[in-house]
Amino acid sequence: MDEATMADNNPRYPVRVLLVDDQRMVGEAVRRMLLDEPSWIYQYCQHPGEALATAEAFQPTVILQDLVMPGIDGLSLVDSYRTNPLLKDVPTIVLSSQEEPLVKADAFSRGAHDYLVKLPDRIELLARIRHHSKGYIHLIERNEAFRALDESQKVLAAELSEAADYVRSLLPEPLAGSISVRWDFESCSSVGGDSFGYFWIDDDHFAIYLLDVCGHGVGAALLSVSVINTINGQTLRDVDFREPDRVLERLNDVFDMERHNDMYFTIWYGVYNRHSANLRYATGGHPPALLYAAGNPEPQQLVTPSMPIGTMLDMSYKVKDVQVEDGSRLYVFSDGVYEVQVNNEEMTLDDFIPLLSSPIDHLNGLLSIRDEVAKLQGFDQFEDDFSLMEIQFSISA
Amino acid sequence: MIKSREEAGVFVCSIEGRLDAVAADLVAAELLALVDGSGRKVLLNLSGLDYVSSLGLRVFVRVAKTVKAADGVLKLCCARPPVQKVLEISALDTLLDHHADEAAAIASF
Repeated sequence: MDEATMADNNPRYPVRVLLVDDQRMVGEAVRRMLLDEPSWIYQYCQHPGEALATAEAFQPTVILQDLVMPGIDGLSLVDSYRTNPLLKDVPTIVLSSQEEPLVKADAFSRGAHDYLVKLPDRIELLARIRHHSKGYIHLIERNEAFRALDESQKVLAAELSEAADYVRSLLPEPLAGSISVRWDFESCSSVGGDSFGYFWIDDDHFAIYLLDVCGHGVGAALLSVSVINTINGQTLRDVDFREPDRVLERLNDVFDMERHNDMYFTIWYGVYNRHSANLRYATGGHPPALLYAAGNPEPQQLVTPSMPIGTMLDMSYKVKDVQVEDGSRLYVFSDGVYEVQVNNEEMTLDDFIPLLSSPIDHLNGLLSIRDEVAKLQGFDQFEDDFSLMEIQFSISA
Repeated sequence: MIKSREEAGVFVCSIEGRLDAVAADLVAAELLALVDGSGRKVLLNLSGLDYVSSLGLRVFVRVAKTVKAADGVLKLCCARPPVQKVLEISALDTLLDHHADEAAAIASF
């Protein structure tokens, strides 16, 4: 499509020509020149004092502006167009009776887009109107596209924020008592793939879990929500939620990555029996939880190495038991808490463990651990979700 | 990020850099295109791999499934300690044969 066709065939934005010239004869001459362009809309303004109001109402795609008029200088009007929010980008072609380089230079320096000696040749005038109108129409369309994009981004951000609020609303309140729990969670994107929870299965058994869906964003969050609702609602068929290995095996069947858009997750799942003080746990591709006995800076690493949930069908998951002493602290977390770069080296679990080795009495609680890791990596934003849960067992309480 | 060659009937792919969220899908696509073929013996040399995230594990899982579906065999070698740790936690080292050096791995097919 050539330039003429493109400028003339835009049904949303036709070419609109405003001529400001005190000589009615010029107004009539230009009208006749445009007769062969029936889709163009022409407006003539004879009185320069009305030019600004006429232009604002007419919304031209190009202004033809006479230079010398009674009582007002045409270039003053050009100044007014450039400072008017509705007209500042409208191309303005100055019409002058003289071919004078200094006047031309002045016109361009004050924001005119073109300069013609009147009366110009018809073909040349049409070509220039078409050229400038086309540029202006493109500008309007681009601005509209940006506005629409900005609007849709705001809508998307609002929806993501609502989704994030929902995901957060599913996270449990901190607990106090013989089993006290506190946690720190920060998503690296609007909505994250980490989630966690704890609940009493019955009067004696307390379940604790933390999962990390591979990837971030809405897809990961949807899977994450689906999994925590399954666990919190204990809706896995024929599964005793006191048996961590059975829970993981069934989750592995239900959340097969082939049927969940290639997504899978890692999980740490444990069940504490308050009568026997036994903690039974199983993991699916998840980093170890750390169990610190009171006064002991060396933790036990609680892990049963196995594939992440959903990666391979028919996997069996191992289970282990550990006796929890009075005053013990258990930390369950996702790899996002330590998989950061420190001085261009990957931080490892072994580097992270010392941060937890003394009881966290800091005023900021677990937030102080997050701040410590942020300080080590040198910036405040984490690349992955940061989820850290601390469970304290006060058996004698 | 991937260099490949044939040695003693084994297709050896060496992966370098980081297998994180950004690289995982790209590396998986490249590897899957490379190993696409039936009955291949495939060895992933991980000596140049600095880091594997939980998302990066997907690369190994997908390649393992593809190779297995074509009646091939996939093995791993030369993982450095941080990568070895991830393979252990995810039990991939039990699912896939892992060797400390490349020559031993090739000889084991």
